[in-house]
Amino acid sequence: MVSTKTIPGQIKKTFLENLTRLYEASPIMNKEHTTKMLSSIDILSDSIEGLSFLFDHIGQVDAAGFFKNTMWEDPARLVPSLVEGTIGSGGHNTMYELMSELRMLAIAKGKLPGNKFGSSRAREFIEDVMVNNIDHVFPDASDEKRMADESVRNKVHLLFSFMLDHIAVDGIKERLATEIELICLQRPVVTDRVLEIIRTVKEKVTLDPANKIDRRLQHYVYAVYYPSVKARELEPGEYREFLEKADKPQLTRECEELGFTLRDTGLSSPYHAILLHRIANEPALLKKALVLDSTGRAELDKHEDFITGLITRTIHEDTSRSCYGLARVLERGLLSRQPVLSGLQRIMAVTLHPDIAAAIRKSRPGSVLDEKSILLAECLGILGQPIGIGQGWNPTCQSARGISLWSSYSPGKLLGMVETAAKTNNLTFRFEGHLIRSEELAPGLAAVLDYNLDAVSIVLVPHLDKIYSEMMKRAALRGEDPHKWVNPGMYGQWIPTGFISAYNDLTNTISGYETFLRTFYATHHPDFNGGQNLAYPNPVGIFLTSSTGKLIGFHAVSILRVRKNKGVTRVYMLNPNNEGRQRWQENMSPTVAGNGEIAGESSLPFHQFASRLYAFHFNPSDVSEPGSLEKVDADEIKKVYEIARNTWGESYVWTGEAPGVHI
Amino acid sequence: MGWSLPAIESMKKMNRPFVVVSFSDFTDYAKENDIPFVGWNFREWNEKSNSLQLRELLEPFGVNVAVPLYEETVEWAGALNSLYRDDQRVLNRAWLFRHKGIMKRKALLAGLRVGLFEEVNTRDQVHNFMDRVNEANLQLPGEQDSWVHLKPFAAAGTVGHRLLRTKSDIDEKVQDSDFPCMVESHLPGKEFSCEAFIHNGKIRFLNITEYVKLGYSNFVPAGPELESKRPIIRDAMERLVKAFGIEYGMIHPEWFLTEDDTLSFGEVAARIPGGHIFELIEKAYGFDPIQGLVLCSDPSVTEEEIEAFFPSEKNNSIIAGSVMIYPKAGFISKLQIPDELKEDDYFETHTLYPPSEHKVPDDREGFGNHYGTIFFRGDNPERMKELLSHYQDIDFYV
Repeated sequence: MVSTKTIPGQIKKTFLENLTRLYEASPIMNKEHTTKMLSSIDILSDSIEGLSFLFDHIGQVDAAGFFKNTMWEDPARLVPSLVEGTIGSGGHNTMYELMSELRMLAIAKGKLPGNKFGSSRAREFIEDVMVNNIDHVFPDASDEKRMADESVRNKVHLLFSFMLDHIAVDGIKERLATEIELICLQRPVVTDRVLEIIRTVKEKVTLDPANKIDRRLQHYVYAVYYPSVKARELEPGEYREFLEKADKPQLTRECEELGFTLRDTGLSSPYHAILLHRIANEPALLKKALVLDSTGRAELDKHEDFITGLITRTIHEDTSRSCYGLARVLERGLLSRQPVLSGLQRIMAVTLHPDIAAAIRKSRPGSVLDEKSILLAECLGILGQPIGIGQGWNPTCQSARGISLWSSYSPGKLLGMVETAAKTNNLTFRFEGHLIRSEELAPGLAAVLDYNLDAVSIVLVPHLDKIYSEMMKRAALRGEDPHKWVNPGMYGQWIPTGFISAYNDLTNTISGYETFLRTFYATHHPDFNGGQNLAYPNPVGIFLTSSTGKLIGFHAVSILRVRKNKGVTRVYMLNPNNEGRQRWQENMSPTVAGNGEIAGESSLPFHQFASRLYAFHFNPSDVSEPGSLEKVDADEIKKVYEIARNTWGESYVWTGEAPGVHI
Repeated sequence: MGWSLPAIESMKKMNRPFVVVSFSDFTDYAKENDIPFVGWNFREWNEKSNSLQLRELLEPFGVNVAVPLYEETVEWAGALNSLYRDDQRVLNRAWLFRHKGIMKRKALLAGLRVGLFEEVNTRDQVHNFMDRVNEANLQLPGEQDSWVHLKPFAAAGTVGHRLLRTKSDIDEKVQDSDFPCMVESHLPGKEFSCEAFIHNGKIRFLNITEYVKLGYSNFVPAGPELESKRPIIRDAMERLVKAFGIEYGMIHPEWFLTEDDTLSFGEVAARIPGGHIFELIEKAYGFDPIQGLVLCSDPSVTEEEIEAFFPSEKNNSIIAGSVMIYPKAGFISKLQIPDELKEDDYFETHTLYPPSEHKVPDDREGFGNHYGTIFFRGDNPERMKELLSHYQDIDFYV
């Protein structure tokens, strides 16, 4: 529950005095007065009464110049997705951010003119913020772990409750529905967050079946909590008893109803797990419950005994999300690949290293299942949903990308790694003729692993992260981007040998950008590479940019394919960042649906993607013919160059040729 | 003279023409914010950098009064005012504030009670001084040494101040670079400060600031015990003003009061006092002390203007106090304000800011840089004293 305090003594009076001083003072004294106001705001924001007092005065606060010369000065320049990080950071930032939200609320409600920034945009901003901070919107549904400081968390909870009281939930219902739908469309392996949103909707929002938006939300609430008519009537325990006595038509009906929600949403519930257990040795019903395609059905027939064993052993209420993974594993025909089948069998037989067992347990503290069954169940999700893999809250995009690539292209190798790491708490990689053993290395990028991950990542990521960091160290200072050597060392020798980077890390400059772009177009764009498709996904480096195009840092994604959709050539990629929908610039937002994306992919028009790229691999023979680079359209290159130069490019010195001059 | 945003603000509010003289680092900022400004290096004094040159630079602004805000501008203001008033002694008087040896001698000559003091050049001379004080205090074998204070001639407040409790302290604490300087016997009694606004040789407003802990906490006006001594304090202040020949401006002396109502003179400065005293005066009495300082510094301001400006020293029910917070030595990572403070009726604001994780050095000059201040306001001096003593010992940084 949120604690709301009473406001002591003269805080309101002091606040108003300092507000008057700020109002009367010339801008040079702003800092002096705002610092004193922040100390009052700190106390006022500990209670609803205080927030409401601040809200009543937000117009004067704004007019007095409180936000002047701060990053909150202009509401039009604020970014909803950055609110969560700032508001949780504590100290003055938290207070400023909080005041900025109150100002936004006032603009949204028409209490405060927002100049160019109208009330509908302010409302949209608040809805965005609420959706991004879904944990805080509904106070006791928060992820306690995310924010360290309790007093800050309490303030944020209070603020969101306050905003919720002042802005109709109906306004965010549609956003919630869209949010849930778009997350589910990506078919993530780890579904905790979307389940959390659905839970809060179930508990906090009144749904009216007559309303279209409400029905969209209801659809998901039902899929997770009442996936069938019977499930609506029975608790999971009672449902199990019901299934034991159920006759064939009853079972068939349950399979059909539960199968529908499973495949429609990608979400499974304890009911799904209970049902699969009951019908584990009835292939005909399993096919219905998993709604398998023809490959899946054939796989089921072929590996009937193995699958019965696998379900009995791993599918449980605690691992219900693996139901969907299992369906996808069968449809990918993976069990007919000997390395996968024997990989799973070997994991079944392995004795877990105690540290690995402890790490898995830590990620699932309450589970009644043994650690190995949890790991095995999670292998199904990883194998079944290779582009639904995410890095969680860890800075380990490289490792997540690796797991995804292996799941797609060398699932046997992946299972081998899982088995080795699970058994020995060590991984050994070969790099340029030397062995790198993770157990001998210091922690890599993620000093402390966040456990909001799937169990396979929990086993592998600490090792992959160390090995990647070690490879980067060994390949550093060679005068070229170390990824040229590290990518093939890390992901596998199928990575093409050509490598080009626009970024020179020794001089921190961008050089030879036109050649770089032309090479990318000539090797990847179907209009210039002879209409060829990619053979393997390409692990590439991109500049991560904020929603205004400013450089944030480097990021690793994989290009999965390049295709024309609705007349536009698009790059389809895996972004291991859990979420494919981040705005990279005004008018540049990868989409996850609606442009021909497969679940888990995100996509951008080719030239927009090219404008973020800084390093990629290619097959040198694709550009070995004279003139192959010159074929690329000069206007296209110029377009990309302009975008790059005016966004992240502002952070660098540019050397080498400018487009159109020469090659 | 000296860069102070609050002072600039006060002048703007008062609508008096002014020009800021300070180090040229502030030139750009002043230009951007339309602040009349003359860049000057107060540390450089030679045939090319002296008050005559400065006067020339100030001529376009029509300056006829200089007001010092900080310690290092006091003699520069004195030199300019000497020129403006065509009176060489104005500069000499300014020097009184800048050399603690001369200051003490002057006070002694005026019949004020001062400690035993001496100007020293070597460690041996400090030993000899302590020996003589011990002798005068009739020290017996095995008894503790008499305390001796070592101070630079010209430094603000507690900067460079060393308390020597024993002979061995002299060898351990005193640095070669401290010399020449002055040493002084320890004055007994309760230390407090006064802020006297003087115009035409008369004290127009006298504030008494009660120290709870030197360098940490104080409040304005003083509690009833100290305020009851106002007549003898005022008398001593008038003697000081007369002896030093102060006609215009503000002085901020420190005094020691013993139980038998004897006042000893500590030292005196002619600049804005530290410890947020001006802010506290403003809160308690409702006038802007910087404006008061400027008015009093200007001989052309009339009696009527002065009288209209200052409130009565009596009938004041608001007490304003502050405690400056210094992090304890060691690593700190987080600012933690106790709820107990936030919920206190007397609590007003604080200016503490969260640290970026770092180490607080354990050697400090003066009292070092404080990390912010907590301000209180109330009407009961006893409770104010309790609060200030309580919070100066709380760890706000963990």
